Amino acid sequence: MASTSTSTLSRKLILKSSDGEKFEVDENVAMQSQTIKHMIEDLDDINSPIPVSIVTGTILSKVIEYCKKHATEDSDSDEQLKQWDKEYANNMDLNTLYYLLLAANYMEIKGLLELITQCVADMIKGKSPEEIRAHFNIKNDFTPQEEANIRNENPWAFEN
Amino acid sequence: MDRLSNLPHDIMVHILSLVDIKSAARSSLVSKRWRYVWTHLVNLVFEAPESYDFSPRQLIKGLDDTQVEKFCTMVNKVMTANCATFLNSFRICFPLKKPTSNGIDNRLNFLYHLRNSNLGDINKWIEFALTKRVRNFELNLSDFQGNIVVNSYTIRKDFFLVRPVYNDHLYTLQSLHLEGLNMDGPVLENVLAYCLNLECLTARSLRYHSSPSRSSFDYTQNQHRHLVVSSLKLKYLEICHCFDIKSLKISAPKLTSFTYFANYGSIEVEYTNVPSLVNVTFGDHYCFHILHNLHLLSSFSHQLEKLAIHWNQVNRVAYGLNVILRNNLLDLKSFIEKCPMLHTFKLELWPLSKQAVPMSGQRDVTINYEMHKHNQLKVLEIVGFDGSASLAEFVFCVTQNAPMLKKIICDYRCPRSKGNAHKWYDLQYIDRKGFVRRQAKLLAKQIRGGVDVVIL
Repeated sequence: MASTSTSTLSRKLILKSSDGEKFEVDENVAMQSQTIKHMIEDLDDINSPIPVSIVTGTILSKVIEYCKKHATEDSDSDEQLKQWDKEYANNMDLNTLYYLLLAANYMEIKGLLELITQCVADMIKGKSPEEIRAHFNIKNDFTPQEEANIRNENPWAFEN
Repeated sequence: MDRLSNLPHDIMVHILSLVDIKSAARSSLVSKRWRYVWTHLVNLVFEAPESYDFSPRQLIKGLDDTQVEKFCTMVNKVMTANCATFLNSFRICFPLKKPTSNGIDNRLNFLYHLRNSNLGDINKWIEFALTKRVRNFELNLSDFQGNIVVNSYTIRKDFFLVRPVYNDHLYTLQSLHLEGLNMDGPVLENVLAYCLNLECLTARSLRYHSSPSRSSFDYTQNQHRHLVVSSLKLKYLEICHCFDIKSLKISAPKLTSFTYFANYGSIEVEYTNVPSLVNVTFGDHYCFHILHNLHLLSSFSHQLEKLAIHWNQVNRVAYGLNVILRNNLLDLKSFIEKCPMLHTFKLELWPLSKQAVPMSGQRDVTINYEMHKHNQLKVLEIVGFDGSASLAEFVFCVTQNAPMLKKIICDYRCPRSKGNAHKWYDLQYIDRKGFVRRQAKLLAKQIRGGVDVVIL
């Protein structure tokens, strides 16, 4: 009896990625995205696929993995969930992190956005400009004179 | 490929808001795309880096001038560069004063070591933050020991009136934290009266000190102050170690959380209108006072959901109350009994200098502890868990009489509720960690099933 009542509670939704891949997810999983939540409210027929236009299937599957984990609240303690989050973020390469960040921002999933920005912030923390460039493959487009000027503006930031 | 630089501006700013201010400023040298991102930060937090030595020995010696100067320069530079249209938070957390006396007990002799230029700087910081319509403002010059600061920066009673005509920031300020400062008048009353949307007010180690002369602090000026907190918006109120406040009257219908640390000189608190109060933290002598006068909580004890008691074990002996001298934490059960709706009881124990008598491996299971049945309590949290026999008895008593209890959290670290003093104690007692963890496991074995013991 209990199982029938839960199935009526959580309806299924179909999310469609930018490259046409379809994902069937529980409504409470998808509702963690504020964007999707608003879309559903305006939708008459929830059986038709919901387009998540800027997110590819590969990334969307990762987003769903996160939302699934965070949809079932009672099974894990806060500490276990934090540990899971940490491992989840650590397993991503820079490219994936970038697209996840865009996806979380577009889909308005606060927890995921916080997690990934914190992960990127940790990569920047304590690094010198040279190290940041090397880590993220950023090209230095300053002239030596410009560089010297910036250092002179805020010498305190570049001291050890 | 450089993806990071292609991120939307807002996300880049958000990322930088999660690093320390020095790292953020350093990012300006990465590339042209990064040049000015950090100047849009809306959260500016200035605190002493972790590497600072916070030991009492070092604090007596004081910070050297270059450290103070460096800090002021940094804040000034960031302030000049910042071009955000508003600030979400602005926090100054640094012991700018420089104590030079030669002993802890010689606190009265702390001389005022802020230079005029530093004073001018602080004035400018306040003005900057308020002009930027800051929402969360903290000015904390305390000495990291949680001691009262005798001579510090004096904050004006009308400090929030920075502009002659438009004072629209008065409507934006939501949270104010003042710590380790002198006040030249009714600063807190004025803030409550003028800042109409203030929801959080934290006042720690504040003194009334009207004399502008710095070298002579005259204790006879010490006025007996009566503070009336009357606010329609206030949700969070914390008043700790403000020894000049002799009595307190609270009328705040939206207030949900109240924290009060006080000594015997200022334990008169009148709760006149607190229908929303559910979360309370008491510390220092006020705990003892409440424990022996539980009727003082009667106007709201029936609605409390979370009660935290910061129990200072050292002072118990010093103030010679008979009941307390028994070194018996069992008495604390009265707090729980008094609050029928309580779901979390948090006990914060300050570490004893000598290790307390540890609990043994064997417990006499036949002991029945006397306590009223409590049918709501779900979580018992112990910070500063020392594995002592006295503490174990308290835990046994609660587990026996609170059938709904699901979780006991044992945290060996020093409580955080007393300024920054925990930083030093945590290092000092780090070798106790292993012992305490073993004791917590031992405790877990001896209590009834269905209670999850989490060891931090």
